[in-house]
Amino acid sequence: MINNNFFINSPLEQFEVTPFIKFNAPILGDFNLSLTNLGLYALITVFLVLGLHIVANNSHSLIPSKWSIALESAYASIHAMVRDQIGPNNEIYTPFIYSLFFFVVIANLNGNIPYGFTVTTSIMVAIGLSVMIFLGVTVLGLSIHGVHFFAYFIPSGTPLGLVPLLVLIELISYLARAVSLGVRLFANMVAGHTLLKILSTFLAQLFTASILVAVVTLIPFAVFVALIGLEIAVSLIQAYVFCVLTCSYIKDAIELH
Amino acid sequence: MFGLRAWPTPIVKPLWPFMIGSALTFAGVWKLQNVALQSEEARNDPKNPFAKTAKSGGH
Amino acid sequence: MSSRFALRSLRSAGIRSAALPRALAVPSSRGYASQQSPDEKAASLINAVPTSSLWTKTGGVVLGTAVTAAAVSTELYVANEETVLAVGFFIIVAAVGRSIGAPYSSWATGHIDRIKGILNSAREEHTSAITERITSVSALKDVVPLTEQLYAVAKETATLEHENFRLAQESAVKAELKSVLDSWVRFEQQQREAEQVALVASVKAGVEERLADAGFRKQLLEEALGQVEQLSRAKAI
Repeated sequence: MINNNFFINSPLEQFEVTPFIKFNAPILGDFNLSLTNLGLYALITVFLVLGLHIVANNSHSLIPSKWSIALESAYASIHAMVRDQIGPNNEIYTPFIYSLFFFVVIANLNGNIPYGFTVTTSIMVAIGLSVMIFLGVTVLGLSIHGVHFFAYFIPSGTPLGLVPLLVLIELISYLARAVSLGVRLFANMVAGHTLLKILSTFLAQLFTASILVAVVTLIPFAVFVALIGLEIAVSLIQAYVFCVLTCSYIKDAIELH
Repeated sequence: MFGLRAWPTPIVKPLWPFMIGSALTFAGVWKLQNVALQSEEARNDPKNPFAKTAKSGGH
Repeated sequence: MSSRFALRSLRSAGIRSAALPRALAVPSSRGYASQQSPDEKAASLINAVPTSSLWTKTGGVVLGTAVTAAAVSTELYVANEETVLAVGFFIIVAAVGRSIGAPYSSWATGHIDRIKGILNSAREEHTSAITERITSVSALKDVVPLTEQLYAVAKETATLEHENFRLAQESAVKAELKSVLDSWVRFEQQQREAEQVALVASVKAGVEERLADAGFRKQLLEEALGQVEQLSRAKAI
């Protein structure tokens, strides 16, 4: 029996965006600005990324420090990824991909800390990022290739009769990129956090039931700890996958495969 | 600031398509938000800052 | 092929699982060495508190307890399901930190020391090369006065040789003059001797010619006889 005064909330309540400070003014047609937990955590993410780069910065000495070795190796891996994906003469996108990677990875890791909020669990943030990238890549491709950009939708070596159908399919799969990139990140984060919230609620009830049940609950708790580790790994991997796919889309726009 | 040197990294030259994309996305989300705020189910929600703007103006 | 791997893994797992119960069945008398005495356990607990001196450790523990009690009583901190998450998170962080913290730290220190070693050894090599060059160049520091002295000596030698040559030329001229005069003297001597010889020869020839003349011979004989008669009359007789 559950003899506690828990209020079991919905596991999706952790993703609610609640404002802390509101600023309403009837000027400019009901001007309304508020600092929400999403905004606060986005600011925290930005400050953490900047702070990491200031703490680990070692530009004043030849001898590296331990922080700067790790940061330099992160930069080297991202640079290598950009070079492999987009090509050695398009390395100019490295700062963009680097900033994107660090923003997404720190945002994801913020949620793994207890009582933290992941900004990428908001559908607007994830879809907003991916739509921005999609539109930017399309504009890039159009500016480089002009009207010839639409030759991307016809794979080479198709018989002429299949071309209309194939163009439609390719167009739909191209438009789906905008959504799939964001939804992949969003769904992974939301699913992971929801699972952890549900399991932790169950485990909390089990732990507070009775001492015998609490001792037996240690075994599922070990599985739960492994799941937390998996969540941290998923945060890192999803950030990496986001950046790899962004690089791949940029390459497609520049080179039209 | 903080003893970091300013390198001449190109910002606009590689990123201008993404700036246009983010402007378009921002405009799209703004319009979407306005439509969603005036929709039926959000009109009477007490958390909505635009709910019953006549009443909040007379407070 | 995969069945062989499966069999091998099963066999090794069987060996390992057979070994485990045996280890558990033995009474852990040899485990006493690894078990800590109560003093050591207490000491390890005290050492686990972060600060250094005993007073700050006590203060820290008391403060932590007071903060926890205050937070829980004012419902600032409610022990809900986030506590389970928090405990699990700290376990993961501790495990990851321990497993990759020390190896990364030691590898990074090794890397940093390698770079420091390279830079320091390069600096020392450079300073030693420079000091070597300085010493090798300072060995030549006498070159300038030495060269000046050599130059002065060479100049002196040149003037002396010039003098020498001039005097040698003078003496050569004088010797040549002398030889020429000697040759003339010899020539005159030769001439005189030749004249004397010629004179003697001519006198002799004259005498012989006179002697060849019979009349002169007769006359000479009569004169000689006359002288002899005189002498004999004067001397001996």
